[in-house]
Amino acid sequence: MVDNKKGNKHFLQILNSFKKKKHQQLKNIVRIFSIILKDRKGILGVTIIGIILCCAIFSPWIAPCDPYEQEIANRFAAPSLKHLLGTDNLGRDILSRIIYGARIAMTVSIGGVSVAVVVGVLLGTIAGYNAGRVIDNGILWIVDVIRAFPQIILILVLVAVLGPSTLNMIMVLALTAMPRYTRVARAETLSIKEEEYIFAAKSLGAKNKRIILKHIIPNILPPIIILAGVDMAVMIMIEAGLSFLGLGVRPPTASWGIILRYGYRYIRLSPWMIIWSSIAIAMAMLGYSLFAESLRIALNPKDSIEKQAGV
Amino acid sequence: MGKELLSIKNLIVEYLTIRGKVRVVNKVNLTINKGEVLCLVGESGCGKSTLGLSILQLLPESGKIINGQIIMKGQNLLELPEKTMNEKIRGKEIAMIAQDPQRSLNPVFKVGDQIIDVLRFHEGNRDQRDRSTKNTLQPSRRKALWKQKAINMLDKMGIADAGDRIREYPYQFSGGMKQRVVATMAFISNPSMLIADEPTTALDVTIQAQIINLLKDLIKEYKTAVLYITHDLGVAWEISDQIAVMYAGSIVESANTESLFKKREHPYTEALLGCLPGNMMRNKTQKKHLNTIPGQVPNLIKPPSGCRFHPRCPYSMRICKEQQPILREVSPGHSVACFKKESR
Amino acid sequence: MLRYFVKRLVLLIPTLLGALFLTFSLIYLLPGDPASTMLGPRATPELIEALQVRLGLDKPVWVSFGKYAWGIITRGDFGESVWSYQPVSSLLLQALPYTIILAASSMIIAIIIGMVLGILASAHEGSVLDSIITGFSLIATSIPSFVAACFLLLFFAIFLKLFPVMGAGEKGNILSQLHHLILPSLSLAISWIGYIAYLLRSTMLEVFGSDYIVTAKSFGIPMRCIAYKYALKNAIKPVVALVGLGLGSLFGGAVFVEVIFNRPGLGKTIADAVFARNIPVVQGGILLASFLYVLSNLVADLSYAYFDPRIQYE
Repeated sequence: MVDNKKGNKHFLQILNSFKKKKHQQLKNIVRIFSIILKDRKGILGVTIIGIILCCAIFSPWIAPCDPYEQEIANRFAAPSLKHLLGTDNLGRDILSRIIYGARIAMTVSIGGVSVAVVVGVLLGTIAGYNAGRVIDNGILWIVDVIRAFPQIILILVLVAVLGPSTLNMIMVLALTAMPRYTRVARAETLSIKEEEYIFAAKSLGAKNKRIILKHIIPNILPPIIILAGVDMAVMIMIEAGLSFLGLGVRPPTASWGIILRYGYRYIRLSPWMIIWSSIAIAMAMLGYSLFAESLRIALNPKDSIEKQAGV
Repeated sequence: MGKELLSIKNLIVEYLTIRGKVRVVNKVNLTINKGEVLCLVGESGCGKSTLGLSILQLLPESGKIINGQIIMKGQNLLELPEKTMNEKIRGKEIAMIAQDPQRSLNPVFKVGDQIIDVLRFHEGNRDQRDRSTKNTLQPSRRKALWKQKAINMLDKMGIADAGDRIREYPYQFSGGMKQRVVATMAFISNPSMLIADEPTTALDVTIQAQIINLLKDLIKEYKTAVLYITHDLGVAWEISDQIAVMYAGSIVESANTESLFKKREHPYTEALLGCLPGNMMRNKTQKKHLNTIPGQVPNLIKPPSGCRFHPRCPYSMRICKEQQPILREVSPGHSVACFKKESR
Repeated sequence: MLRYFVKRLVLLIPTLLGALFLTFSLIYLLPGDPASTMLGPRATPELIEALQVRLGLDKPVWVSFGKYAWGIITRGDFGESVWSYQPVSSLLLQALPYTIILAASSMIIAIIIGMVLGILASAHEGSVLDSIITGFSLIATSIPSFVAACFLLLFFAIFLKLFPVMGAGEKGNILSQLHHLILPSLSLAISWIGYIAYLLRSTMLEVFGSDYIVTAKSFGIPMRCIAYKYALKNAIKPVVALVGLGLGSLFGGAVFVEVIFNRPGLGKTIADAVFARNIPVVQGGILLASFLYVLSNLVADLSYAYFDPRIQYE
């Protein structure tokens, strides 16, 4: 390079500062978690999510009974020592089915959110970074068309048309959730791409793909993560709702929505299916909502008391 | 003694922050006389705004008045219930003009409505009587009277086409004009005292001059006492009768304006006045840089021991590190808080 | 205001056209041959062919789409139901009023209760009342409409027998219809009460810290007026945005509630059509839902501009 050495050194310093940034990011994550855990909402949220995750991962070990084992003679039983939450319309233990139901809830929500985030962020950063007006407007248009439909109705129809299955549900959930991530990613990319360190990296010949992956994406993550937390709650709800209508996972799989479905069908015979599945769904959503809210507060220390004092 | 309007005695104000308690106002004593303009001068963060806010008890959540009295017309304002403060004191006896006019007005209400609201809550309680018939006025007639009063006042403040402009929203006014609107709200109930917290800091220099002249005229006409808070010594010279210099939460010097500028007893005052660019002119052959005061404003969470200025003071002695000096009169009407000056 | 409205309307056109195309292409997403899938395993080849012609499946995509779109835009013709040959538009128009009433009453309940709770909580920040309201709001946001519906149904209709279990009530009998409206509206409203109360509380607290509120206080304006007038008009903007968003997703929740309480309405029509594989009705239904959704978002944006006059000039 013919450039003077001082210039090179300057750029190298800037680039070195983001290696430190990676370490700092890890420290940041730990710091944020500690803030969350000090807040009541955060503790509750993380606890609930933890319980659900445990149920999902360790279901064979935690569940007292086989969720598919039927005891027709003992249908619609009230809670007892043997069946802590009672039995359902085919005599299956409700508690075990709820524990196994966590698997479906987690699989669908984590799968759906992951796909939505990956595709959405990719599209959004491309649109915002250097796509040129045609591709940018094209992506925006697609996103707007998806957003023109109420989410549940679109999901309902698409799943019905494509055929109910877990995979279809994940894909459709991801499709309807993607627009928000695309818009946020695009907006953040637009503002970040003007910053100095991007210019520095470019001057050293870093390829665009590398810049996007290494520099832009880590910096747009905070709002995306908060959205993802909220979306997890929404997806759990939609999965339950679809299964409730018979458009989700197929019986005899244990999903909270399916338990609720048969609880509704046999509502006059036993209240327990409705009660326990409702509590499971509500608690799962509550856990994620609390976590997302606590995360939002941790990432936005806007109203610190120190500012008030002018100190 | 009949001259005294507001008397602050031993006021202590603290903020509770994540890093600990911060004592922002430290045993302050201050007296403002009727019709007098007292300038409270100091750097940012010295506690002068907090002092102003405390008088009207408008501190934010984290601020607490720990101790002290604020006596006005024989009453301790700090003991008054909130309702009385609202009805009798705020906007009526004592009015405040704050620092940033861009944010002082509610953006979603018309300017006229905001002015009329001030009138409504102070005069609305008493039945107003029509001068000619001596009957109680109808609400609509009252509103019309208030509207007219607002227009007259706005006009007086120098806003052209006041009758049209009261129907506009704050974003349609410039910074200086917004400040005039706030001044309208302040003077419309003819308060006996005005607290002006750096009212021109956020404005352009030319507008600054206009607003200061406006305030001077108003003060002369309404004979309002003023607590004028500022960091600008030039403004202090222009507008005040008395000056009190504040540093790190305490008053370090207090005197009438001419005496302060001439004698500048406290080392901080001396340094402050030495920083004025005008002084550079005199020292043109010797110095190329502006004078500064070495060191930084102290951290109020862990303030320096003894006199809070001692780390930056060119005259500091041993006693300055150990004890805090109190305000003592060194000549008639001129008080200083400094051990060096006392020993003279 | 009008110019702003027109500007927004024009920007919507490409989106609506895209939505039209997406809806139209639903038929082609069916696995296998659309016509035979719709008719089921007992269909004869003649029936299948007849249906294909009716649905325009024998022509190229662009031609069919053009016909479809043109029919909708000029005549409001959404095609016919596969089974009953009844025009889709009349089916939808019959059902729509019920859904609108349901959505409107839910939103009204949610706004009234939510706003009162939000203001109370913010005005008494830190008190026991505040904690109770905040806790309740957070839990309420986690209760989806179908969960609330099942629960309310279980408790108030079946257990306590206070409310009817299904239907919309007798035609012409307002009291009966109101009686049938209560549980469904409440089911839809619960999560929105939570959102509105929580959001309004946050924004009110934020507004309370603004300079202009301190200024108002400094002029002696009493707390009552500050909370309900000065602060509220500023704090309400995000709530208006939320409500605008909500009107749309109410349609989604209405599907569940109408199915659960067996009420006629747009949601139930779409759901029934989905199960019966009555694609034209499904298409018409989601187009209508989308149109109403987009319209309600626009109205929300306009009210946003009303509460904050600055927006119009941007």
